[in-house]
Amino acid sequence: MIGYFHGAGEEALAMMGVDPARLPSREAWLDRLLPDLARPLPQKLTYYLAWRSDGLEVGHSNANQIVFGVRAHVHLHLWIPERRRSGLGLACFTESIRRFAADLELKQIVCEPYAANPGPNRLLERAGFTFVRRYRTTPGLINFEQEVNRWELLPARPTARASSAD
Amino acid sequence: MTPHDTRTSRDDEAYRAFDFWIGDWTVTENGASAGTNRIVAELDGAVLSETWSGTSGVRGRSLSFYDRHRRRWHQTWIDSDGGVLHLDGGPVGRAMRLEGEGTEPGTLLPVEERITWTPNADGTVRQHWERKALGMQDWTTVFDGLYRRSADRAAPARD
Repeated sequence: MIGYFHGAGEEALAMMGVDPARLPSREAWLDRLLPDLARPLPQKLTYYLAWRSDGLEVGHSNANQIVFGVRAHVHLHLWIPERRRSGLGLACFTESIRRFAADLELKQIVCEPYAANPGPNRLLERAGFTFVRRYRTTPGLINFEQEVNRWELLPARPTARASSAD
Repeated sequence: MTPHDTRTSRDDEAYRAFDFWIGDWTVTENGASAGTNRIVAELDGAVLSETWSGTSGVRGRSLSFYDRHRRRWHQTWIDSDGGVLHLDGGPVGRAMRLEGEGTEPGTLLPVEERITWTPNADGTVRQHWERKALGMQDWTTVFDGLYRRSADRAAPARD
């Protein structure tokens, strides 16, 4: 995941709403994330899932701002542009959401992608998320100020209309 | 002066530096509703008690007080998502600025937190919450709220 961000070009980072000048060093970032990987589920601050297809790692999804048993924010990244618009992202994300909801016992899942990036916004709608609102914010330390769309899912509802994947 | 000093704080000017925040407020960010907040002075004016109800569903409470032994203001905040802030500081001009350290929820990196409350001439208050990675230069805005006094409640007085 860290290698993906550091290896992405400026254009790809811009589409994610990320300012390359704000990326932490690999070492500093890893130092903070590794201890969290070992924490039991109810104590986790983040939860990362790698996506593999045909033996290759093709992306990841992660949850943060976790309130165990209540809510988390999720993110999705399909690393290989050639695999986009194939249905792979929706399939991986749908399975990630199922895992997040079950393992973290979530009642609400929130995703707030960069509004100017149509890919994740389209995917969220297909995954059954409900659009709530658009607003301007700086989503995190690595981001520039931007418009984001807030999407929400109540996991008790169907999480995907997978047959409509493009 | 000892922790058991019973002198009233009511007339000490240092305790009044944050009085402009007292009241019942509706809060917006970029024109959109962010929530409501109620700030009440308690314990003969020794502490300000905050009760926040966010539009997103997050609720929060804080206690802010002037620590006369350290000669600094302090705020402890806790919200319904488990978020905690321990902030210290004091007046900067007419504003109140409180700072502390925390963890950024996305990267888990240690960060500096800074919240500045500024009273505006029209009676509104700006609450500007900023964050930056330790050792970095640039602050990023976490929350930039504008407080307007609620029309349906009179501002509570100090007790």
